Amino acid sequence: MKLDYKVLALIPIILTLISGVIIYTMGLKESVDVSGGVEITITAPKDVDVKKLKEYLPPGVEVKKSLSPSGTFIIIRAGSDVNTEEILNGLKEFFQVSNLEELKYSQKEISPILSKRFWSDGLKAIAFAFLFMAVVVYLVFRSPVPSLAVILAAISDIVMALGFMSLFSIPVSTATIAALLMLIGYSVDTDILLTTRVLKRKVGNIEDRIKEAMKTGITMSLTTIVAMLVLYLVVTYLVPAAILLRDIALVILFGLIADLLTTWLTNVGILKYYLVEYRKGE
Amino acid sequence: MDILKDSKVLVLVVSVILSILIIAFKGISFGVDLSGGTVIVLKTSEPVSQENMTVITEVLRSRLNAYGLSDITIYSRGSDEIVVEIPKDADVERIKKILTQQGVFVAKIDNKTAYTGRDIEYVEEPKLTPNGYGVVLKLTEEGARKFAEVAYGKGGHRVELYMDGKLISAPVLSPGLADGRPHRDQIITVAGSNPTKEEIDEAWAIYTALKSGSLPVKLEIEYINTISPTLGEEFIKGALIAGFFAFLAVGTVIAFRYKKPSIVIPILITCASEILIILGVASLINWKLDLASIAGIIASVGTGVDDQIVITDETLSKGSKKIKSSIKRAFFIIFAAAGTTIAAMLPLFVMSIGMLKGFAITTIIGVLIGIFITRPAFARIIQYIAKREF
Repeated sequence: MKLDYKVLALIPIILTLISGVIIYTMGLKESVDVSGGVEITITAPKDVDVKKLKEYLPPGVEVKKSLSPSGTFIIIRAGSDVNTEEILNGLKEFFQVSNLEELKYSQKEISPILSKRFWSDGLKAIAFAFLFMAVVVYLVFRSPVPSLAVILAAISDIVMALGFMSLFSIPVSTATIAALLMLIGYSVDTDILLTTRVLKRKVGNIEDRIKEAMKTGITMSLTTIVAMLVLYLVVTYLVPAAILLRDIALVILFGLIADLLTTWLTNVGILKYYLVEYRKGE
Repeated sequence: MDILKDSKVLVLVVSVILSILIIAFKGISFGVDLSGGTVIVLKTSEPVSQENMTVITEVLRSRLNAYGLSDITIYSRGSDEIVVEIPKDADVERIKKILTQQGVFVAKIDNKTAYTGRDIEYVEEPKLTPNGYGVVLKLTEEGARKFAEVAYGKGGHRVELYMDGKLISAPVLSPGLADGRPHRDQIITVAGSNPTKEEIDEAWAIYTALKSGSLPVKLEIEYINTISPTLGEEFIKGALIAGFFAFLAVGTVIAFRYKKPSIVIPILITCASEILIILGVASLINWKLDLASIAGIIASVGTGVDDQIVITDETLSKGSKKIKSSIKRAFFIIFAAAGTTIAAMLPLFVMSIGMLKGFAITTIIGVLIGIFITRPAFARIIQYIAKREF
């Protein structure tokens, strides 16, 4: 049985709506970039009892640990109201070191003023990125329906990626905003390929052109997907401290999987509708 | 090998060779978030003029030098932000105090100004003095005269020392200093003989403020990121390993799809040259590679591979007997994709968070190198191969 392309086109739209509901109900986790405060990461040479470590730290501090071949990786987070120096002193005492340098540490502190600006600036950047991208897409194709399909696909990708971030509590941070913007780029690439092939190529019928475009487009997505998968695995198992790169890899990885659906189900569906029915109606 | 005589391929080859030479001679420098160190972003309480910005960066530089830190980078961003980069392990708590102290110093006796920071000629590093832990300083003759005038006959009164409006010390004026004669040597004590870390930090902040002068505006810390150098090394190592494996993985996917080494190898070589050229440009313009740049390189190389796949498929597709028109169509897609990527990156230039600016710059540079150097050359190579083999 062959499913109607209009039914298939609905699948990503439904997934996008579900993602919207997930984001709405579960919310998005905020990194220190957004909420303000301090984040300290250390790599301890041996396993660490988190409960005991907490006793050395001031109240209101969140401690998380993960194990990797190079040692125990610990992330400590606290809001702007906690004194950083107390945390550092607690860590030095607990690990019995005079200098945190011995623990391969990193420390990031964001003031509440900057974090407030982060939301407004970050949202503006994404909104304008979309707007500019949409203008370019329209200038390229000069017809509203195919352009709209490209833009719609990019919006769905971003919403699904955000839904994934919400579900797996990947925090909104400078890095993940960068990832979402990269995603806009990748998402639009495959859609432009598809639209150009279908509208501009004169060889074969629509189905053939879509099939050819799919071959190219899926190879494009696959190369990026495997690259991100590798990045994710290397960071997780070899350099857990580069957690930023891990978040970027995960967001793009998921966004690209979402993009496979939006491009080859929804965008294809809209293009078919445009060529088969919409244009005939004109 | 006629292909090597093609102008576009030649441009690519020359660019790669130049990049290798530049990297070999100038090297690649890494930002502190990769190599280790501290980045601090300060915000002025109000927008300041370019002149005042220069004053601020100079004062901050001399403060950090006074504290014993050299090899630091200080630059202003816009009219209200100053970025300080310290490329090694440093005591962040102390540096925070040193940088944010406005440094307006006043000594008062009975609410009359005896001397200010401007009257100080010489300051010594904080140390233990017979009166306690503190900073020893020498007044100018003019300052000492002013002090003598105000202090005359006030033995036993307190000398109130204010830094930025905050009382930091109030020693009792010894009768010997109240005899109306100029005494140039003064001491600011902040603690007894057993100072805490906090008190030592305070003394250092006073010392550097007195030594470097006061700032025209108040500064607040917006962002601090410290990474220990050992961790930085690990980051770079991790990025290289990840890059290598990602390259292998992409190669595997492409090999699986095209199966012919004559197609797979050019794609991978072009991809590698693109990375080399981006790094060469970074080295040439003294761009410090940081995590954001790595993300940018990933983004542009990712789209680079995508574009090469588009070119390959357009050139080799069954229906396209006219290679010229298929290459034209491939470049239509490539330019459209590049245009959208650049458009999406532009808003980041007005973002307040510097990291995303670096990301946008690297991505745009990568995309431009792609559309002007690597893609055209790759198109010629693949056409050449298509003509010979198919």
